[in-house]
Amino acid sequence: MGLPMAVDATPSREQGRLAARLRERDPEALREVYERCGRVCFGFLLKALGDRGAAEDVQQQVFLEVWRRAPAYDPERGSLLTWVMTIARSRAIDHKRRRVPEPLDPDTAASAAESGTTVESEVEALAERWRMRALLGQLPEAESALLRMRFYAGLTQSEIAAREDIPLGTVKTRMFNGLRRLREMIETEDER
Amino acid sequence: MSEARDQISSYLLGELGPAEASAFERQLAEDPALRAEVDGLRSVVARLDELPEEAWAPPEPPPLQMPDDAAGEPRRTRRRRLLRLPTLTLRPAAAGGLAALLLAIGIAAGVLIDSGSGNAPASADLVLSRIDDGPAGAHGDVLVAGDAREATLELAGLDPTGPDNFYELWLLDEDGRMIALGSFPVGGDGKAEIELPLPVEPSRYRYFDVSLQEDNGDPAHSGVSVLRGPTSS
Repeated sequence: MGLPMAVDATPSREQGRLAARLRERDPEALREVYERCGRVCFGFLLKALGDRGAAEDVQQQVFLEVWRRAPAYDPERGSLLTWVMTIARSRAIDHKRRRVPEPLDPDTAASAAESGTTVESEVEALAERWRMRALLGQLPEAESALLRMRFYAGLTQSEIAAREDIPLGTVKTRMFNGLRRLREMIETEDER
Repeated sequence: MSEARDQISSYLLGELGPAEASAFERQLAEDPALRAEVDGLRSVVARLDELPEEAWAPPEPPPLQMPDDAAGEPRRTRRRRLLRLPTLTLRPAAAGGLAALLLAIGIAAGVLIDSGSGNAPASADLVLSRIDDGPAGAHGDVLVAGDAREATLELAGLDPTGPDNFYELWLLDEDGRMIALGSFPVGGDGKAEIELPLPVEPSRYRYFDVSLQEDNGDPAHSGVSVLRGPTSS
């Protein structure tokens, strides 16, 4: 078929520089990470924990951990946002597990263990969906806006073309490029 | 080449007609490279379809509290004027029943304040009037930017929100379609000024609607509308 390679899913230099500044203990770098990742991370925590107060508490824990573990972060092993989301997932699971009462007898213990497994799998699945959201944020604006119109607002490609006053062919090309770029980002992250 | 690419997105999004889809599927059967491309993108489309509604517009996070050992003066993160973005978007099926009830209650008032018809003009300044459960003196307007991609909401005379409730702006229609545009608190002065993106053109819906929502995790319209106005002047 020979479709052209239209996308580049390699980590940006900017992200690498930000990671380096984090490792050098630059507080401004932490603020920048928060600007970039705070919103998606908080959205995930709010959904996972179902309680705004708890989500705010865990959000602070996550970024405290980002700060403390920054020297160990290797951008070659995953994007910054993926790393932050990995920490957020772990802290969300910890938080939900702490809310499970201590088992008093074998039956309760078995039930609690099962509940813990369920909690973990639920949070994992949710984190995976939010990881997709995080990747969306790394797309060029023209492509992410178009995907938003299609998958969030439910517009067809023709409706998008009319709304944006651009040719339908341009919409289809951007749609294809956006989907393909996302696929390559997923593959890149999975390979790390 | 370009045609195949265009057809891939249309096929995956279910936008090909039956004859076109059949022809494309025959092409898929004969072209392993095309098939691999489509299979790879199909999972991306599925993931996007599964994305939680609130993920498209995540809520504003709390300000960052800098760790004690971080040098420098702590700086609060820049807060946008829209404090909490939509928790509900296009959910006609789920919201239909409630919307029908909501509209049954509010439609008379909506018709009364709907003074015009047709598409919203460029840079439309649209009036919101109190209805139903709105406090006396509540009023506001929506300034829709010329390209219909952003709007500024200015409200006054509203009851202040507390820790357990907030206001939400919607676009809604008589047939139950509705879309949440964003939510926000109101302080003691009863005023709010909010800038927000518009994911769809407002003229696709009949009304702007401001509801008072309980912060109970339910993303549906509460049925408690306080202000409403037409999407066209």
